[in-house]
Amino acid sequence: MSELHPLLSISDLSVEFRTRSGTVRALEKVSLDVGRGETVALVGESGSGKSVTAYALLGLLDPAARITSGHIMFGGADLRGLGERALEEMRGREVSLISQNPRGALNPIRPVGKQLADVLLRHASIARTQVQQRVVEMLAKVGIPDPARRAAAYPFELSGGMCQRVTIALALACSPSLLIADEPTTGLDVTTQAVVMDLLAELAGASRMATILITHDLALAGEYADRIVVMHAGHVVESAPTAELFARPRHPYTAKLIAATPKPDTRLADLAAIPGNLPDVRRADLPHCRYSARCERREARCEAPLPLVAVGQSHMVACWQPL
Amino acid sequence: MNAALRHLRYVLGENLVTLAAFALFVVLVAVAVLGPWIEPHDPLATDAMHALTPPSAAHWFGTDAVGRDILSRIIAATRLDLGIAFAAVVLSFAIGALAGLAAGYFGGWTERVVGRAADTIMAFPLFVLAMGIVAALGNTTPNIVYATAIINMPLYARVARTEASVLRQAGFVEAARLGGNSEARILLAQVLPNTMPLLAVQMSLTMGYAILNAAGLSFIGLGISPPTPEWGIMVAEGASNIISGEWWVALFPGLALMLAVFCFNLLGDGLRDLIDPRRRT
Repeated sequence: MSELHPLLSISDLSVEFRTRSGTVRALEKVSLDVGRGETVALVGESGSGKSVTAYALLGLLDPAARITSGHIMFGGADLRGLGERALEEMRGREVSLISQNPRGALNPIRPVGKQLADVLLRHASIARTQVQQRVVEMLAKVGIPDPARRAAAYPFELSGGMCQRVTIALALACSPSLLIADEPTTGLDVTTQAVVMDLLAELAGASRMATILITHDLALAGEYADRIVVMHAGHVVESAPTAELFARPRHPYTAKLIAATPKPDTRLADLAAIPGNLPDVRRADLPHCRYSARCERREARCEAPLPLVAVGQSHMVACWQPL
Repeated sequence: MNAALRHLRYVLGENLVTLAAFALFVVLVAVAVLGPWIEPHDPLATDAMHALTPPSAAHWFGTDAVGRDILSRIIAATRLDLGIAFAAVVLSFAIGALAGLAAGYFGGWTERVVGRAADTIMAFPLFVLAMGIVAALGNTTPNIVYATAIINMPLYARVARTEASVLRQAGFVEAARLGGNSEARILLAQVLPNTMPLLAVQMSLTMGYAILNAAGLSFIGLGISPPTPEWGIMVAEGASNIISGEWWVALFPGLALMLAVFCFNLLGDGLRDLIDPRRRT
């Protein structure tokens, strides 16, 4: 693995779902780079393809889904060419995932310490005698008080925030080089959200782990991500360093998203709603720009195939007439 | 281990019915294990001089038509009846539950094959099916075990299939997959343990069915052959004596049979409370 290549490089990834009501083109030509130690936020509405991107890269797409084109280069190898065994080795060790439902992600009838031990024994080369000690260390590291005693607790005995800490410990147990956090704070109350995000940021920084933060919360992404990738209906519409994206959004959709995000000094009435809904991605006659139906700046040349324009250093936008 | 014992004590203290069933279970197992050492008489020794004597100090449960001590025969039969039932339950659990889990978890053709097989077995009147199997294979103890196991298998397959088809969507199963575990490993290490509380209830109930089934087969002459002591045969042998007033010949083995089935039926819920950690609150 050379430092020259990004840790993860997804290029032109397209994914289709075969459903009874037609083929859903869930992702179309999605490209995404994540460097070592970098935190990249995938932002978009529900159904915009954020999670599909993550599951495609883990090789865990639904059986109805098919990758129709593109490459997923991770650490120099194309994951699409790997067999199931190699993928199993990779999952949990190189790439791991934190889900939005921490309680559901834990086996309800197994003490959390045992579950952590399972992961360590599966992937880390560690002696059986040292596992218990490592488990307690891991639980302490994610800020669980009295970790030695909590290791024997069942998930239902812990609060939602504590469960999320346990799933973070599970995800980080084998020091992966990439962590996918799929809406990690959705199921938590607001005060816990900040604590969990700070913990994630701290642990990621300490081990130079790259993070893909999947969220619909642009404010959260703005706070924690180095770079933000905005998705809309299976397209990447804009990708830019966080500060630049907020200072100068170039895609009309990004601008609308930012306007729809509350700030301390805005009142609820000032927030702008984005008109319309995601287009029906089953349609065969989808326009090249899937945002065009909702766009106020639409004009004739928007019918042509989308360009991906570099409007600044590492600032890309898929629009004919960026702001 | 200590925690498990404390939990056992808690569950038993909480629920008197479970406590009674558990006590009965301990007695049954003790009798089955200690059988030969606690029988007051030889269960096979006939004594024409003391045929059909009513319960007395020498023969607590009386003697049968050829003078064999009924208490000793009941004790000797415990090991055989429980043994057959236990072997059958283990066999039907091992095959039925695994097939059901795989069916529910993988879906597709696995589910169709297992589902149809279970439906086919369930389509028969189960006791008649067991009779047919024993009649076709010959009435030996292993064949009684197989017949009993086969008629119980669909029950496990159905419970396991339903549970697994729900659990395969569960977050922790997904998490295990994300953690790089193979499907077989997830099925055995994540899904199976989560179905155990329900399957344990099923095991306890089918243990009762299995005892009844084994005794029933012997009762109609298709199971264990005389003179081997077995509850079903003893009831059958004693049935003709009831009219002439010797009620004890059929009553006591019948009572033993009833208590054993009763015990396992009551044990089910308690067993679930023991196994499911979510009940430890």
